[in-house]
Amino acid sequence: MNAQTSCVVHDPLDVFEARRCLGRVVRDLGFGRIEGAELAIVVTELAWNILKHGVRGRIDIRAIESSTRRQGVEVVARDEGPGFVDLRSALIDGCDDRGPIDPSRMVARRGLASGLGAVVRFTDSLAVEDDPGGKRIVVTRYRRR
Amino acid sequence: MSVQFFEDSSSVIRERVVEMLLSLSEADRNGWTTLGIADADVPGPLGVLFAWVSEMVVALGAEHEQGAAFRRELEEKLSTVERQRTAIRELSTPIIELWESVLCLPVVGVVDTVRSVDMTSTLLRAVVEKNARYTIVDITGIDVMDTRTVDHFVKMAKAVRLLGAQCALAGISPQIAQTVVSMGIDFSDVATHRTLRDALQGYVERTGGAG
Repeated sequence: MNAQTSCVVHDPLDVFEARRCLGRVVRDLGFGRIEGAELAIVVTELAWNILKHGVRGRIDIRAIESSTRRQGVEVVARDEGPGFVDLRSALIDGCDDRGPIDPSRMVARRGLASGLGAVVRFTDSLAVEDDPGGKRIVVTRYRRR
Repeated sequence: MSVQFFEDSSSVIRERVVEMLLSLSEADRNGWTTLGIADADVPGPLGVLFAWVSEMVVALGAEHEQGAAFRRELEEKLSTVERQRTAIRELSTPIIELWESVLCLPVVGVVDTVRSVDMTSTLLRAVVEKNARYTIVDITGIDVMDTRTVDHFVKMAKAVRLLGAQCALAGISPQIAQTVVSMGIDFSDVATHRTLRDALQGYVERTGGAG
C-alpha cells in the first residue's frame, strides 16, 4: 500500500482540501465510514491549528502498516510556528500550551482549546518533532473495525 | 503522387519526413514540445516546402499546448469552485426559520471545535434577532463528534434556554449516542428527537402551532 498525498495549508479553504486528501487515502484503504469521520476530525483540527498557531504549513497523509500488518494512516502536520511551551498542557482540554484558557475568550479564539485533545482521542499515537523552520505533529491511527 | 515525391527527393528529405511523421504520430504521448525538427539543410523548392511544413507542425504543437493549458486551468478553477462550495456550506452556518418563532440549524459535514464555537455564536444571535421560542439543531448525517464538542452542544442548548427559548437536538447518530453515554455527558436538559420532523411535530402539538 503506497497511498500518499499532501497539501499545503495557507487559508481556511485548505482545511477542506486536507480533508479531501484524507478521503482519498481512507477510501483506498477501505476504512469504514465512522473511522473515516473520526480521521476527518483529526485532520480538520490539525489543519486549523496550522492556520491559528503555525501561520502556514502543510499536511502529509499516507497509508502505513503496523508490525502486526494492521492497516493505518499517518498524518504529519508541519507548520512554521514556534514549538509548544508545554506539550502536556496543550493536550489538556480547555488549555493551550501555557495553561488554562479563560472560557470567555473561546468565542474570540474560535475554538474550545480541545482540538489536540480530540486528535489524541481519535488516534493511537501523537508525537511532536522539530522541523526545519518550525515543528511537525505526527499522528497515527490504525484500523479498528 | 506521394510515391513520386519520395522517389524524387533526396534520402535526407525522405529520412526527415519519416522522422517528422513518426514524432507527429507520437506527439500526444511524448509531448508536443519535443517536436524539434531541425531546419532542412536541403536547397531548392523541396527544402522550402520542408521548412514550411516544419513551421506548421511547430505552430500546431504550440496551439495544442495552449489548448491543453486552458483545459487544465479550467479544470483547476472548477475544482476550486467545488471546494469553495463545500467550504461555504460548512462555514456559513445557515439558520432556517421553519415556523413562526421556530429556528432550525442544520449541520452537515464535519463538526470540529472551530465550527462548534462559530455555530453557537450564530445560533444565539439568531435566537435574539428572530425572537425565537424554539430551536432545533439537526445533526442527521453527522456520524462522529468529539466528546468535548458534544459537551459544547449541550452548553449551547443551555445558553439558548437562558435566552428564553428551548433547544432540541434532532438526528443523533448511534455513535454519538454512545459517546454521550460513555462519557457521562448530562443530556437531561436537552430535548432529543429522532428526526427533524419529530422535533417540529412535537413542538406544534404542544403549542397548537401558535408559537
